[in-house]
Amino acid sequence: MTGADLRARLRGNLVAGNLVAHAVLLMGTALFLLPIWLVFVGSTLDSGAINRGDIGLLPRLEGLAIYPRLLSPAPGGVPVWRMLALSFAMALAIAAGKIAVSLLSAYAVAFFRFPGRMLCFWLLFITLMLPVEVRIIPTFAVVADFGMVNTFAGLVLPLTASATATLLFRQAFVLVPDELVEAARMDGAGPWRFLRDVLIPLSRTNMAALFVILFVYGWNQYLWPLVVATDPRLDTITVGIVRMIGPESRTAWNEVMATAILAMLPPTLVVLAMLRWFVKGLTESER
Amino acid sequence: MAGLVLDQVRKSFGRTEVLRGIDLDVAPGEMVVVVGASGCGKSTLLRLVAGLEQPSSGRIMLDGEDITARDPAARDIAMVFQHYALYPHMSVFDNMAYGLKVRRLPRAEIAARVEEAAQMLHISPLLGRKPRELSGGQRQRVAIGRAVVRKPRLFLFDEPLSSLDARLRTSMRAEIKRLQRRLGVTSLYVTHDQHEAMSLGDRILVLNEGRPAQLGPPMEIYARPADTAVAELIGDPPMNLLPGWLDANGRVRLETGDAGNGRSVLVGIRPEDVAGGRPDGDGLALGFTPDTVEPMGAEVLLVGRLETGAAFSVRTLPASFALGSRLDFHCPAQRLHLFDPGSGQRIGPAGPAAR
Ligand SMILES: Nc1ncnc2c1ncn2[C@@H]1O[C@H](COP(=O)(O)OP(=O)(O)OP(=O)(O)O)[C@@H](O)[C@H]1O
Ligand SMILES: [Mg+2]
Repeated sequence: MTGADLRARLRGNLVAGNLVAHAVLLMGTALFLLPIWLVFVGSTLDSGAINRGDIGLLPRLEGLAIYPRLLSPAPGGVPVWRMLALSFAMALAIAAGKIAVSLLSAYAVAFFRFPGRMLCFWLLFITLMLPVEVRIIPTFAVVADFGMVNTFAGLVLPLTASATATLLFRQAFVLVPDELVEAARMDGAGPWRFLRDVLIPLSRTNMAALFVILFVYGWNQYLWPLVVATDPRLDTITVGIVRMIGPESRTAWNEVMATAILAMLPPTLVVLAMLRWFVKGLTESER
Repeated sequence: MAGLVLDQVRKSFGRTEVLRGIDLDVAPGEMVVVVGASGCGKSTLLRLVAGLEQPSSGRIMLDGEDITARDPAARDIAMVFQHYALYPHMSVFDNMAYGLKVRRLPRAEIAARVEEAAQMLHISPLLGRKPRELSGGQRQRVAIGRAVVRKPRLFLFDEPLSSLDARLRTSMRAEIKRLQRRLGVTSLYVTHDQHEAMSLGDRILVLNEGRPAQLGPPMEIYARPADTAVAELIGDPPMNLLPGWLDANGRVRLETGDAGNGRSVLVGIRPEDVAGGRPDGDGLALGFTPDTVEPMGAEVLLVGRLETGAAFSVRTLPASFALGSRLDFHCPAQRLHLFDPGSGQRIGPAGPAAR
């Protein structure tokens, strides 16, 4: 076989390989998108059709009017925009809070020698095994003692500690060369300046990646908001959707589905906006 | 007035004593090079002076002030690190300016100082770049620039050239020397490269296992090494050290196996001090059988064995040598170095002063 033949054959193999890979990717994408598409189609039908199980694959265009109706704060309408705003604020606060808290605790654990440092590290580590769902009753008791039931703070604060983010930051921090720390000390930078001028800029991509993950985490919270906020004005979108589902025959399924579609938009937009940073943060480091 | 003074400085990490009593007096504007084998405590010494570590005992004085307990930032000392330690996310300008910004110097003053230093170090066109867009040599210039803009009372260098290639190292070495002369800043420079030490230092401090083995001008250390450790460290290729005897008449004999008489000594002979032919007068005759020739450019290094069986090397002008056959060489008496075989200390002769 000549070199040219071999090359042609290899190229053929490559093309075939690419085709297979693309077929698999397309199938995976379809598998993910199909349910979402069905929800979208359902949102444009009337609720009776859905109750009859009468859903096709094509949306009913005049049914799209449901979206402006849901979003308008008209009296009698469902205050979807309000729930969206609340969820957005909550997710934002949780993500920002988690990043701030874990950045500081990772800074302490990675750079300072203090009594009980390893103990602190292990305590942090152990909390990985204690998500809110596990500690929900004691956490509720604490929040209640602080008088934070039915407040925004009560919604957010118990979710702002993150062992995962702390560990991620710690791993990034221990890779910072000692010489760099010492150079900053010689330059006269104290601990706060070092954090602000060196560590935070160096962790920017990490922070962006974490922000995306934590924002989605915050957005998807259901159990905790359900427990701690009984006031309907503090209904997050996830809680709101569930509240819209009443007894089978009286549920406006098209509204539920339209709300679900709306609920998907903000996190999707955040992910898309941060995608470049997100990939960068997961794959490369600035060092 | 006093420059840098170290007074019985000791440092232990747990049980291991790394520095065992260092006394040093660096005159204002002087450059002292600390040289020693890996792990002998050179970096530790520098970090103590910088304030990055605290000495276990002893005092460190700068310009007459006791700075032993002072924070690194308050010592007015700048340091150049082995791996540059530039801030990766800052431009060259910001890297050099950072120490000044922290010290709240006026903006115009900062810009002026950075530009002056950049010009001095030929990095003006690079001021807008990030460290990762620079070559190793350029990065080291930036690191030096960062120290220069501070206009400190003392420069510390921790093997700043060791990650550069040989050629660049030689030219940067000359540049550092020029710069240090020009700025007249007292400097302490750590290296394990004897050539760097010889060419840079006004004086050299040789450290051996945490003890100062010798302190003096480069040529004096070369001419009169204080002990066998210094003798082996300074000089390239290293000095030959051979067991021998010093008889009652003050004549040196190499050990041949049969018991000699007189005092047992280690005879040090630099490869470059050996000459061809038999000795005239009181030189030491060396029957030498070379087995390899290493070309060194202008000269060659012959490696082989003496009649006594000891390994030996000779540095000489190139010629055609009959490898494997015995040749006559000798070393003039005043070029011999004698050391005590027990302690390794130099016992004489006074030897040539600086040549
Ligand atoms: N923080 C520390 N804790 C414990 N031991 C240390 C510490 N720093 C240095 N040492 C020990 O002190 C000794 C001297 O270290 P140092 O870094 O000063 O050597 P060096 O002369 O600079 O060597 P090199 O030429 O390899 O850089 C080494 O044995 C090292 O293991
Ligand atoms: Mg070192």
